[in-house]
Amino acid sequence: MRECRVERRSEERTGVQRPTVFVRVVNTAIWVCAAALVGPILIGSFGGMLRHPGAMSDPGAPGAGIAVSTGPLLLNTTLVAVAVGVVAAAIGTIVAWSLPRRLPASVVAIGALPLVMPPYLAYAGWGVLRSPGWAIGDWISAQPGARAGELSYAFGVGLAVLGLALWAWPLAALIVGASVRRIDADLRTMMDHELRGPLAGALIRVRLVAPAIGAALLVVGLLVCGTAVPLHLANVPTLAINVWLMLDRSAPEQAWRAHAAAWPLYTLAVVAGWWLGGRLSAWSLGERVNAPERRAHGRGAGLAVVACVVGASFVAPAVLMVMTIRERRSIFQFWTISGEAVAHGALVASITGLVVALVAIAVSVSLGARREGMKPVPAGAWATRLLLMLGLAPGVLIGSGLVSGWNRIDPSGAIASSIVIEVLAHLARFGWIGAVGGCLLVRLEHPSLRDLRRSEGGDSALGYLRSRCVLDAPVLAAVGLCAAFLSMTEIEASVVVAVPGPGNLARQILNNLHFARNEELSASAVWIVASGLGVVLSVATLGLVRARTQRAAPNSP
Amino acid sequence: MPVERVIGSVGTWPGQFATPRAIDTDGSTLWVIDKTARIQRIDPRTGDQLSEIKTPRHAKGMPVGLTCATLDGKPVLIVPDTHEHRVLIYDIPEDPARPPSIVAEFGTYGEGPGRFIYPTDVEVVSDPAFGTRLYVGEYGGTDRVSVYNDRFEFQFSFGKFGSGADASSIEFNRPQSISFDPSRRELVIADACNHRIGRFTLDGALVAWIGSPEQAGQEPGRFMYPYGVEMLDDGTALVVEFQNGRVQRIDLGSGKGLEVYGTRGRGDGQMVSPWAVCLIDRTAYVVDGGNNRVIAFRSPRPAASPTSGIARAPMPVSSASGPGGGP
Repeated sequence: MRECRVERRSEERTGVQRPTVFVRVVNTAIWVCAAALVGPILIGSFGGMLRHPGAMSDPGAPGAGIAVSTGPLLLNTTLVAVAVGVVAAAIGTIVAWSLPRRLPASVVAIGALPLVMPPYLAYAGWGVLRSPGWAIGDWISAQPGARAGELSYAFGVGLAVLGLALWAWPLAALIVGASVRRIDADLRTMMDHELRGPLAGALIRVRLVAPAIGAALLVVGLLVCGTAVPLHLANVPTLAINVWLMLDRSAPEQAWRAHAAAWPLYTLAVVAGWWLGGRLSAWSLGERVNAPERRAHGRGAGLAVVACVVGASFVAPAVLMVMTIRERRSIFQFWTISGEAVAHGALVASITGLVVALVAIAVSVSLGARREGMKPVPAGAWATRLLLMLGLAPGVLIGSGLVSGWNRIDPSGAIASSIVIEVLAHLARFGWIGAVGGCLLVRLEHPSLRDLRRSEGGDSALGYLRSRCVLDAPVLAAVGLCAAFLSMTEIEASVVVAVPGPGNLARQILNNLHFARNEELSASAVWIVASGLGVVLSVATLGLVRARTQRAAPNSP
Repeated sequence: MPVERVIGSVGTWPGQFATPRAIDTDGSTLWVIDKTARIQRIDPRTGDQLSEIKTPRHAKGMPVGLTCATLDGKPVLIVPDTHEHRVLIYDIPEDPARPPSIVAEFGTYGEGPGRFIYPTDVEVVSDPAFGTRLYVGEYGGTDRVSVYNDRFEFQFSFGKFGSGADASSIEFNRPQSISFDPSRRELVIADACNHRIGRFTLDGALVAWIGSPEQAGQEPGRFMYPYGVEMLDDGTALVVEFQNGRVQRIDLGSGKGLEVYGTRGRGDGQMVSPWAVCLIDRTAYVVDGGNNRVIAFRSPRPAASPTSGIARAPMPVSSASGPGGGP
């Protein structure tokens, strides 16, 4: 309180509103963390380029045999990204339109189930259908000679696109859903009653949220541009895959060549991250929609749509993988082989989840402290942009840049060979979840409440803990869990930063995928899916209990 | 592990490797295949590349094995072309600078006799009782060993997918490497994903399993993904463990781990995802796949000597070299 009074006196004297000490400490922490992430990546990835100007054109350079900037490859990358974006945006739009405006937390949690099915597992799960003994697999193998190979390949490409779309649609649904929520409730009611014919209705609905559908397509497409694993498994050539191959075939001191070759991906990530981060920060402080109304009718149909989509993206591939397990003991054998890796992965994931939750707090404190006329732009807005840029960049490049950079900064390798590098890599990959969560927290706090909190000294550390921490806890928990789960199943950065072996779950899963160790893959999928399902069902149950408690309270609004 | 020398570095230049995954020797030179489907003939003393070829088709994936042997009195290089579901036979030219060429191939996609899903390794054994046999390991659902004669005609197969230890029903989960034990006249098979080594008669009957899926581990005598096996002249075997990043010398009689070479890592004497081993004299050459190199270290014993009737590649060097190291 004393700190607040001193701040207020200072503001009164100068006429300029200054952030409190707590906010300034948080902002400084954000800058320090950003430097620890971005600095080494810049040093590791671009340091070599500056030392070897013009060396990229050396035809005998390591990895020179791998095409990275050819027209067909870039076209192929774009086509795959657009294909996944279109399918994910279509599913996301259908779900966003089908659901009521306000969703119970339990439904949101169930809707997030596809995110706990990594895209490579969705790919592998549906891929079971082309194995011998299944109708599609038998039909393909019955085709003459080369045609069987072509059909198998085409089916694999389709599966890779579908697997990625089935993983990414909740993101598209969130983006389109935010736009659907802004549509006037009366207009929606009128559309429900007046529009005749499903096609006319669908076209008008699509037109109403066309910019959001475009944004969803863009975001998913950008994510796909930097994704490698499912597409690599399906032998689909993309820029991210060839950059990975180039990295794989280059000595550490030559890794900069792969980074230089990935300039289109970096450019996309920087431009899109900057734009999306700006939009997100603005949205967090922007005008709010009036209290949403519940739509009673059509609710069942909406839930049925969600059930179908969740079934296709989570239940079906999981069931297919379980069905391929030939020996029940393989399920338990997983722990003999991967127990150490799971323990290590869980440790990294827990720290990552905790740090990402802290990122959410930092971004919300930093952004929430912004007032009219305050300069400069809060660190939270910059952090949001930076983390989105890192999240959109290919994971292998993030991992390689961090290792190279930290090896240059600390030649003893104390950081680069420890768990710290793994946490940093996962923070770089999933820190954006914390940034988005932070923006959401700012958005969820009504401006009048924020003003009241400030006037009561809630901008101090103690004030934050007393006034906001409890209220923010559900979002922070969701953010932390989401980041932790993605960290646990992350492959692309992990295989670069961590030494393969019994302690490396990412490498083990990649090996299972790569070397067609189907029994082991299915066994690991059982545990991954079951743990994700357990977390999601726990959150959904908590949501249900909370909703019932609130309904039962006599003064519940 | 006292490393004698390191051959190669990461890259695609001659003498460099991009995730090498199989190795064998014709007795004087090394043959190494890597993830770019390049098969390089390497001078083991200098590490220089002598010649290079690529498998004809490799868009779907690369071979995971390589064997030097003698067929019809001629030295040959046998490549299980894993993702093309066939076995390729190359000649081995006397002039090391001349690249080998394909002289025969057999196999096609399928689960039936004479067909393959993913062939892994080939071992050639000659015996007065049956002439010359080619034992081909395979995974991908039909995990088994198929046996062919020297005219590449299918004879019989043994094994199916599974992890059981019952001698009446042999089960494999990726028989990744096959080696011939001349002292016992048995086949020694690395059952990689069941984390065990199997001893079999030449007709495919189980003699003993060493290790089991339940015993997978890092202690001596236990295995984690044994990918390569190579016999020594005293009836012990060098076993390369993919996930433990090491080579173990195993007493095949007692199943005990006698020595461990190397640890997991990227430093000197360390390995990441090693795949295979072969020997020239008493020098063992291990494919250190994850570190893109071949590590040479002193073996306690030379490779198993070829006995009467066993057809092998020419060996100008004093003692035997072994086939079948390449998974």
